[in-house]
Amino acid sequence: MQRRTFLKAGLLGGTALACAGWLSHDTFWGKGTHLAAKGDHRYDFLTEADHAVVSALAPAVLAGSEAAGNPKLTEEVVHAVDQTIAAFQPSVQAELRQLFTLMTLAPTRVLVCGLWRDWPAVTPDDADAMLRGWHASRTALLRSAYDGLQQLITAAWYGNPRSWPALGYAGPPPFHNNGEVTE
Amino acid sequence: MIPDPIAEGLANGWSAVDASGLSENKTLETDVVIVGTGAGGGMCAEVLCAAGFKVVLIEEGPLRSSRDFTMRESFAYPELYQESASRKTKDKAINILQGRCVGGGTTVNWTSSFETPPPTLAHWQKHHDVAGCDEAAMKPWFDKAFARLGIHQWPVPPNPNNAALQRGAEQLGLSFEIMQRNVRGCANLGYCGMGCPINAKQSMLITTIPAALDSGAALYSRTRAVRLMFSGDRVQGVVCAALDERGVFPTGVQIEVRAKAVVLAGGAIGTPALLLRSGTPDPYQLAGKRTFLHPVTAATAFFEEEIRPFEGAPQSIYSDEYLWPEGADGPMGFKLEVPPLHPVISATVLDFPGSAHHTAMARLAHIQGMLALCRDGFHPDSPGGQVNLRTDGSPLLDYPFTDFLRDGFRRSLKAMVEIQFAAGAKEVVPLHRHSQPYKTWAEAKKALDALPMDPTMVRLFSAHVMGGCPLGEDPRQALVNSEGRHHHLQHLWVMDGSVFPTSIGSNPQVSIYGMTLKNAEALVKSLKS
Repeated sequence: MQRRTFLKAGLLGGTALACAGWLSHDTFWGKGTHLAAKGDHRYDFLTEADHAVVSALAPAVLAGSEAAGNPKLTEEVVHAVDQTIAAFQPSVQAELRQLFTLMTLAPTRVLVCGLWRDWPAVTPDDADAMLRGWHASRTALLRSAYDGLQQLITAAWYGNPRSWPALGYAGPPPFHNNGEVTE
Repeated sequence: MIPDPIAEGLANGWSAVDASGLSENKTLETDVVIVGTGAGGGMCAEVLCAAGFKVVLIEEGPLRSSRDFTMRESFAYPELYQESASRKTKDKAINILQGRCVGGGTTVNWTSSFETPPPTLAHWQKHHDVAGCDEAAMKPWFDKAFARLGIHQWPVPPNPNNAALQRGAEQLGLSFEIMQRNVRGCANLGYCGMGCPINAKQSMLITTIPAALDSGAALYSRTRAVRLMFSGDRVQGVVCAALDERGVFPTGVQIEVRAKAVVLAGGAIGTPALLLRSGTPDPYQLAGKRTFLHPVTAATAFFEEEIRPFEGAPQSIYSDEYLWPEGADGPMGFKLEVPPLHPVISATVLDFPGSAHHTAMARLAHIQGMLALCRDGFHPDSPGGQVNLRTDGSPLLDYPFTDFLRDGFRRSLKAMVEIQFAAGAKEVVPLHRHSQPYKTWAEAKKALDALPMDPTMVRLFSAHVMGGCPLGEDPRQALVNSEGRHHHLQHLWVMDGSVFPTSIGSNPQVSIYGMTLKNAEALVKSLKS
């Protein structure tokens, strides 16, 4: 991301987030957009546009992991993010709806994310630059937006048993506590 | 096959209703309705049922049991914790871990068991007009809790994660102790935080709640207490909303419980929020104020040898070296402990952008974690936070930082990093947005002197929410009396962590058990008279 765009983002991020709150009334759950659906995965929170955001961010957040270069695993991550958000309280879901609205509407995407290209065309390098900008931002709202996205995406991947072998973690011990042996 | 007391009880005809499946409104009549099934609600239920009273238990979370506890974070956090273990303070600076299931925090805690520290009880007596709660008066109640829950000093050697705290403390000449735990037949698995799969942890879920249900108590899970019913100065019951299967949205079904007495035990965010939603009398506007968190700072260390922080009893060693630096009301003290590190919790606290994150995760088996519970609420510059209501009635905790807190956070991070290097760490990362992996204690110390201890910069957690409905004899500073009875509404009692006038200074489950056992006897007396 260009430095100037990022500085603007820092200054205007708060205002933009406030605007997104108002704008998101028109997009909240199904008005003008529709929930994502990919193969067997039904989505309960993320719209098609949000799906593109998380799909673009995941390879940057999970850089170096098996999920980063594997579209099938990335899709599992995005779906797990969706299911996590769907279990959040309504007030937290509403905050995330504002954040996704801000990130998916073209003017605020350019202003706050510093991304001229729309999400399906965003490269892992673009996403990484944007995330680093938010991580170090002077604007507390962007820092906490970074934290929220980072935590959702990393929890989605490292909660998936496919990620465990790379960590030296064999998973929970096999156990007969429910009549079945866990993996 | 592990015996599952919950499945057995249900098969034997317990009165337990998952409200997400209800299609019609209900009205119930009972002697006592208890809101919440954690440390306070569970203990209180057993005492009341043993005394012959009819009890209804209300729980916002689901009824789950050992057969569901698969030791997976992806199941445990959304099912068993408030807000999927992602509850945060208003400014998002502090991540709060709170149970939300039958058994509450006791179903998911790490089993660390301490009587309320004597300096804390003395401080309450001196500064908060708390009566009948001195060390000698409380001892029989703590003894009772110890006996009921099999609390004993853990006889098994610590796992390497905890052994590092011991070794570092020994190297530096600091004090340390072996943890007491509420377990029977513990297999040293290390998954306490995801629900005990073998019912070794003596949580409310497998002790007092089954006892209450065996005696005829009724349990409503997936049921949120929305507001109290009261008329004049008498409480009459509670209006509840059934939640959907995920526990997110109300289904529209309402459950009204009319009772001779109401006990609030929904924890130090839930209880004040229920009082605020209900508009109960509060002439000095105390509800939800002075809410404490034991704000937790943490540091991760990389060791050459394997630590395997995901295995073994999660907490077996602690140090109180820095807990009372200049008595109770001096600079903020902190208690040093160790957290278990499973993949999800580790991934969300390791804060490195880009591929550095996965590089750190790939070394998970070599990571050692340490945490400091900062003792808030004892000093005038540590007034705690305030529970407020969002427009939808849900609670939101505003917890402002003060320089007093910042000083404690900085000292606690330094203390942990010094111990980790003394224990042999190759690299240490104190959890802060701008920290780096430091290779020496001197380098880390210099960095920690400069890093700003501001919200969303220093990484903070809380697993202990306390206060917001303080007990004491003076209605100008306490909402309930020293026995937990509301100062302004008759037949309303509070028995959970919200009654504490300050934080505790140690993991609070036994403090809640002891105080509740004492106060439940007072409630029994009052109901009998």
